[in-house]
Amino acid sequence: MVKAKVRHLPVKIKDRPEFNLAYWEIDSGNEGPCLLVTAALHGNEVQGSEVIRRFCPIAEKEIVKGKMVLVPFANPLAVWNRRPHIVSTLAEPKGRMVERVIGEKKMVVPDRRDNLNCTWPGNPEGNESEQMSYILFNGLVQQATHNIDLHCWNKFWATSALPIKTEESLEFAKAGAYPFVIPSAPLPKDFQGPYTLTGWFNSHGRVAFAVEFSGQYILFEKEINIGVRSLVNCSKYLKMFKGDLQGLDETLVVKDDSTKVFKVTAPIEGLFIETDLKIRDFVKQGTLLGYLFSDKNLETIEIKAPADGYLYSYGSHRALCDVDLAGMHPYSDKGDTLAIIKS
Amino acid sequence: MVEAKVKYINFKTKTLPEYKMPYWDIDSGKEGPCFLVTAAIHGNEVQGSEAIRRFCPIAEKSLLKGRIVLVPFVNPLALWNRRPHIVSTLGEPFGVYAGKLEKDNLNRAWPGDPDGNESDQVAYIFFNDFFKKIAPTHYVDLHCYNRFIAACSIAEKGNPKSIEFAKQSTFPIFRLFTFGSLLNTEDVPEELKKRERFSLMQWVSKNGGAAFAVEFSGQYTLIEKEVERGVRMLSNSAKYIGVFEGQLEGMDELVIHKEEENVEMVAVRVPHQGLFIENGLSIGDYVKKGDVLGHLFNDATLKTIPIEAPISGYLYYYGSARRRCDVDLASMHPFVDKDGNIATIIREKPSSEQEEAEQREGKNNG
Repeated sequence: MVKAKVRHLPVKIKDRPEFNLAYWEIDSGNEGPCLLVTAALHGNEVQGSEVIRRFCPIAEKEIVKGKMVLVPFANPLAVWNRRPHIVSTLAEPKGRMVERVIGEKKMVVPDRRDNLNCTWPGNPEGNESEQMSYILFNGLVQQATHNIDLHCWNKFWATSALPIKTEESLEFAKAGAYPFVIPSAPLPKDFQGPYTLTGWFNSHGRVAFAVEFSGQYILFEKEINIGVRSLVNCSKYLKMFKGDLQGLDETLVVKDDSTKVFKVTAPIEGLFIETDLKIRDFVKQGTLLGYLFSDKNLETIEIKAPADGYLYSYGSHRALCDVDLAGMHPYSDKGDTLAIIKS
Repeated sequence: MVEAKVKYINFKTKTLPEYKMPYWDIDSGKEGPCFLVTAAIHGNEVQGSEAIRRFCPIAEKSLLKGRIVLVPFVNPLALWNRRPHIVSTLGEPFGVYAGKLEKDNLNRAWPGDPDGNESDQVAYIFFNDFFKKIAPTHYVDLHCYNRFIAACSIAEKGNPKSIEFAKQSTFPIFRLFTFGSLLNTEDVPEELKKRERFSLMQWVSKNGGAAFAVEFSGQYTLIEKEVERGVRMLSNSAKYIGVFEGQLEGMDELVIHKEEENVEMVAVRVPHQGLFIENGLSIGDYVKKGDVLGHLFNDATLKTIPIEAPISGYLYYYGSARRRCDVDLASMHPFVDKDGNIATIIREKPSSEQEEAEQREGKNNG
């Protein structure tokens, strides 16, 4: 048994009240990896915070080598704001709107620098998020050999691990036994940053992956259980815990070139009424996915699965559904995605 | 069997695009009451739309006399906007206030104004081209509260006809509102006071009809339990007014009359800020004094404390939510501030004997 110590990282950001960021450190005293687990880099994504809280007493009991640094609230200013970023508002949830030239078009888009996860390794002279990542980077990140960064995406998408496609990170992510594993291409060698947190790890000879739990602004018991098991598994994979990995047969799809993706879109506009299916359920071709109730003529039509596979996404939603309730309204426009089936 | 006919109301206003609003008209051809049901006056409140869709074939089979008129989407422009009002935006979800009057709210606009704002114009056409013509004797208006509050039915205080009609809804909470003029709010500009403004339910009640509103639990969503509750309520309503045959269902279920003197409500507040982790309970559950409602995970110290029920009773409100949680995701975030409310327990006031027994039980449980 190794007692978790509560440590505090002083945070001083210009024009913001000073505070101490609390985290747990569990040091076995034996040589080994340094695993950094972070949650709530975005203030609306807190399922990982509860995963870490439940994992901590398990780690105290089970750790045999190396050191763990568990940060349940990596971006407290955004958590207190209860929105993705420190400066998010109701009207500008993705950050301050700025003019950018994209391609040949001038567009008004959210400033990426307001997103803490687009600012690593940070900048002491930068904006609030850049200063915050600079403090975290120097206080906690640099010592770590491995990182699991716990995020959440909207509740319509299945829980997934998102490793960079390097052998080490992919295998590390697979150990988590998440329902879906979605690797992405490594960054170009000449990429200079700023990085995502896991991007920084992978570009600097370290090992990391991100997790997206299903559901923001909420805590789901099922998601938290998946997360706790994943952290236990990954600790075993790194030999920081003893024992066999569990649930490896539960990963449904590791996305690669052979993965088939079937998108189900609304053929008319109307209210989408789900059946009792859940994300991750296996559906056969022809399974009833739900009904569309037309507000134009009051007719109801059936929506059926076009192929066999697992429900990777389910429910009527659209852009901004992670920050705007209207984005998750069950009223669908023609062409809105109702389900995505992967096999 | 009476076939439901799909009919349309034409909306041609001075400033809005033209559109047609469909409704079902189920007319037995026999004399009797006219029962009107509307849903989605607010575009983010659509559980009633699905309850109506499921009720329609039941009405076709069961209607014996009179007429049932069902309008599942009474405010299509707000529905297409997927927000409460026609002009709601992400940044101004309740539209623009006039003083404290929510003037863009369709349910503050009846009987409408052809020269008014978008909601006033829609209300005017609905009221004059449809509502007055069908002249409902009974009316139910289906709304939704945020998902943290128990479903309830609402009738006008001092209106026995509406109160009796509403009582058969068997929603868990029964509320009585005193509807004063909606213009009696502060700072309303004089030009808006030139005409009266009512909710449609209030207008019907004031003009001799029987009317009530219901609030399902949950907006921007369809919850099976709520929809089933709605279908049963509509069948009960039809039985109560005599257009269906049969016994009312669910009348033995507990309904708490919130405004009655023997009812008490206790808010459960947290002693410090933190992440509130619910304990698998649901709104409407009965909890005993001392039951753990959830845990509070302090982000500053990383300590966790249990939050216990201070009295026995039913969960009227449960979860970490704040003002505007019906329009803003941040207000439903599980991070709660010091003194934030994470539950409200409602119950009929216990007798002194019951209170003593509860205290004894609490002591025995340590």
